[in-house]
Amino acid sequence: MAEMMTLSVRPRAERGKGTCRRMLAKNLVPGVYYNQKGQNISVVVDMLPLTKLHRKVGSSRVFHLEMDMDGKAESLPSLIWDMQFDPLKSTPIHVDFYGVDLEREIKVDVKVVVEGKAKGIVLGGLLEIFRETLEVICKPLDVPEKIVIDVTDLDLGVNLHIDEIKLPAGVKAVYDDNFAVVGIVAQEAEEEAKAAEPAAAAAKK
Amino acid sequence: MLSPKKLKYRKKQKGRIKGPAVKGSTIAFGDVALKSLEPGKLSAQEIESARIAIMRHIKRGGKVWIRMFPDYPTTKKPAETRMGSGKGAPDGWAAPIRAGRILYEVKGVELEVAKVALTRAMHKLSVKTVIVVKEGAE
Repeated sequence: MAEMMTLSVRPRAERGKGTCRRMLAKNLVPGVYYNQKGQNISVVVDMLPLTKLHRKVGSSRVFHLEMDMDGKAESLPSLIWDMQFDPLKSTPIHVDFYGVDLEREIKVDVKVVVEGKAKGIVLGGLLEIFRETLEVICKPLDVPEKIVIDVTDLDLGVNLHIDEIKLPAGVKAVYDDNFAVVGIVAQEAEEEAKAAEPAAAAAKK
Repeated sequence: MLSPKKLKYRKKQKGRIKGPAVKGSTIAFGDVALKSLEPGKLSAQEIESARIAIMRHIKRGGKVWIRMFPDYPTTKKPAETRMGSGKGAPDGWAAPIRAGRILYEVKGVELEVAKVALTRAMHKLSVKTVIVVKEGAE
């Protein structure tokens, strides 16, 4: 596993939408840190480092959250549990940090990445990813960055199900039904071309 | 063109479109999308026109999602009519759009092709829009 990243946050005493809006105007993002022990601390974090970190670790990889607690700096292994974005600017407006115990298993969603050119695509099919993420259970440090699925042998009309996907050691998928993750579907008929043909013929006349 | 299958009342009050989009502001299906930057009412004609612009550019392959539906009846008074005498007759359908709403999503084509297709659609719409790309799709 690659070296863990760090993010510095500060506890905040001010709460409410007025203060949060003033923070956002200063490029600060209000947030909250909580863990399984019941700790719950309101924090504030700089927008730029948070955005950069989120782009790298997403919501599934652990990083060190550096915070001043009772006068001493502490490094807490955490996950970005939730992040709210501005609908117009797409900038973060609130973030939830979840403190994890490195020895206890957690449930996280990991991104699915497809590699290879499927046989079905060569035959004119379309690759459909039914699940963009998969829920897995593992120890925080074992969480894979992404789940790579090789679709080279996938034929037209064939789906790859969750039980057929190879996961790294120590990682288990969480599922009740054996759902399809990716598949090659036949392309829809080009309705547009059909509709355009009579119109073009009429225009010529 | 898109229109509701049945309706309860023929005419609707105008109302105001306030605030940013509460839902439908994130990419749900595709890789590239068109997002509105201001509120407005998009007519069924312009929705269809923008869809055709996208389809004609991406040709075969790819998939397009329309993330809005024109379920708001619009009315129009006949030409050369004096004001008053009630609301005009139903004329068409429109989709009220809040700022930040995702309008179209495209998947299954090259990113550059999708961007050009959405730029063409952008010119057909009466609201300011921007192309947004799903994280990791670039």
